[in-house]
Amino acid sequence: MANDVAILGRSTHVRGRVTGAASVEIAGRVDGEVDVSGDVTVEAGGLVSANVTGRRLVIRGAIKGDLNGSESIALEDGAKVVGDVRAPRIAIAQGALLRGYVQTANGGSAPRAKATTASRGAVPPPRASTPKHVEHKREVEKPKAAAPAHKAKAPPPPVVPALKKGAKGARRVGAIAGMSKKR
Amino acid sequence: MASTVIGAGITIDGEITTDEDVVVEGTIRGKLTAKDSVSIEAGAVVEADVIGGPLTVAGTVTGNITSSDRVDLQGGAKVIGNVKATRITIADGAQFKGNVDMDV
Amino acid sequence: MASHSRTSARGNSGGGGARIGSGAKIRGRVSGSGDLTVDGSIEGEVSVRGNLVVNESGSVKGDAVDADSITVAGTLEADGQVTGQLRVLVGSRVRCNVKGGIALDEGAEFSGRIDADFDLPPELEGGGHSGRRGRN
Repeated sequence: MANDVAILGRSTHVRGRVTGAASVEIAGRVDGEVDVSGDVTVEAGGLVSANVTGRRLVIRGAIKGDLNGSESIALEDGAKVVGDVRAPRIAIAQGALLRGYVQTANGGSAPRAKATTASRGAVPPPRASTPKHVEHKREVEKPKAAAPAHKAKAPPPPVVPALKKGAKGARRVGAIAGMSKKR
Repeated sequence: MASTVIGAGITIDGEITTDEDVVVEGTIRGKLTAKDSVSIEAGAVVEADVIGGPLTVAGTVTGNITSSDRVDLQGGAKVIGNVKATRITIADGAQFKGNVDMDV
Repeated sequence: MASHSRTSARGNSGGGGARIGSGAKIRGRVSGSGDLTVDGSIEGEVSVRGNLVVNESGSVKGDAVDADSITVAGTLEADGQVTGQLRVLVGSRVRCNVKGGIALDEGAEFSGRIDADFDLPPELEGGGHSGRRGRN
């Protein structure tokens, strides 16, 4: 039926999140998070102003945000990245420019089936549009988050929308409570 | 081939602007503004206002469609929203709920 | 603690530079001009005007490391700043903060901060937060 890939051409500008169970090629500009379970390629001239998460990341463009690869990340010649770079395997070419923390996680590919039920229970019900995908990602991300070296660092990206959702929900509840008080 | 493709597995929550032609097979929530042709394929879900050149819809659009050219709603298309275009065709089997504004 | 030894690496003659053999261990500061090849181990500071090569069997652990270029196939662990063009080869284990450029082979183990001097494209500069990131 369709290509399981999104191609954002040179003149294409996305303001918002790009998510899904497919691969993405970015030659244009994305002002928002990119979080897919497929591969992400940011071409020369491509710009992303937020975190990028995917399986294999190949960067030739400019990124202001953290890069998370469940398999690998390659910063190629011409890449400009301000942000942290994390993947089991990382390649940085001569000519790639980087400001940020780099962490290869060896063994990160080994015990990926160990997603704890506890952490999954804490997660709000996934959105109707991407249920499978969200859960799967969490499993992939788990071993990395469990490594003690990461403890102090930011939690894996999938948690972020969960927090936001929670915050929004809390606010809504507060607003309703406030209204009922007035009455 | 189109230079911008939103593939079947992809969801974009936000605004897309482009000078290129666009093929949508995935999900867009927000707004899509293109200068060239836009093709919303069968299976695509667009919960957004769509602005573009020649527009073909075979998927689902919830939002207003504005075209500088023509709009073709193909069989299987489901559109809830107003359509503004110089010409519009609604094929047998297309569902459409909204107003048509033919800007002559 | 341990007695501090000093090694001067002078790159004058054909082969040039100094080599720390695979059985050799140095504790202390290693400085000089010329290339330095490490097959053994150094614990301490390294500062050479030349190229530092840490081979598979070699290890450099300790404080700051400063060289024109640093190529690592073995182990490099530095608590201080590493200055120089760093090349990390596959199979190596490197933990350090780097001031300058880095080339990292896929398959190498690396952790640390890279701090290259460059500007992002103007579209990504400014806005919410500046190019340099606040958090550590």
